[in-house]
Amino acid sequence: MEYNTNKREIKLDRKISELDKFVIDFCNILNKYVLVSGYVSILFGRSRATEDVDLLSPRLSLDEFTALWKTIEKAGFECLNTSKIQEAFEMWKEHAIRFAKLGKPIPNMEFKMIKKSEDEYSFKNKIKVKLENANLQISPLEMQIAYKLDLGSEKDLEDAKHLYELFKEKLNNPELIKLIRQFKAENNFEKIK
Amino acid sequence: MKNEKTKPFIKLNLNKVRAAKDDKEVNSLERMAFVKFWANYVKTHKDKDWSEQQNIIINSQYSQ
Repeated sequence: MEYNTNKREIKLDRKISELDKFVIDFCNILNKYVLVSGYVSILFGRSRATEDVDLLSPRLSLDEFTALWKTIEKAGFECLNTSKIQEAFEMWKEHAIRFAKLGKPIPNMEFKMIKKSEDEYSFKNKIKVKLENANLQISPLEMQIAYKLDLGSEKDLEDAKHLYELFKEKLNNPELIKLIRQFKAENNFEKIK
Repeated sequence: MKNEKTKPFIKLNLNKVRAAKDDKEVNSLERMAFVKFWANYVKTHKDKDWSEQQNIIINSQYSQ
């Protein structure tokens, strides 16, 4: 893989997994999004699977949400929370809603609205990942590492360590330290260094 | 093939292992050491190589 930090772009020549296919199919529907959390580590080789992928979207009006819902359905996905658009929209304003391929709940996409400052940061500073036949947009690696350190479970610390070990020569270290301090996750950083 | 001198191995800090308060902590140290070992493998091998191995884990979860 090649990480061009100036272009904020990573070229990745990986063999596409079933999980990657699912993510690419879903993301191809969207214009504005950013992938966050565990899938970012898995995309770059972390040796684990997952049942869900976290995706952040900017706030949408009901009309925009309805149009997107119809496109998602047409692409062969269904919502696991409800089959009613209005109800899904109300839920989405409060919490993530999940989409999966029709009749197959795993894997699924946790579709979340950008709300918190770290969500905004991830969206504004996203990185493009160029795969063989598709592009994906992911959260900046410094934020991923800091966020996972903040979550703090064994799985999360391992996700953070994988990204840190893989990219440590390319990371913006002052930015990483700043984010880790914001999350007050310095102790967990010591565990993975 | 790399010879024994250059071939990477999974290395644990024995001082940390000896200071661990229980088996759970030793297990965490072992897991972290493997994460480091695997990340180094990903870094030093072609994407197609490591992803083929990783896909065994991933695809087995979703295949019917």
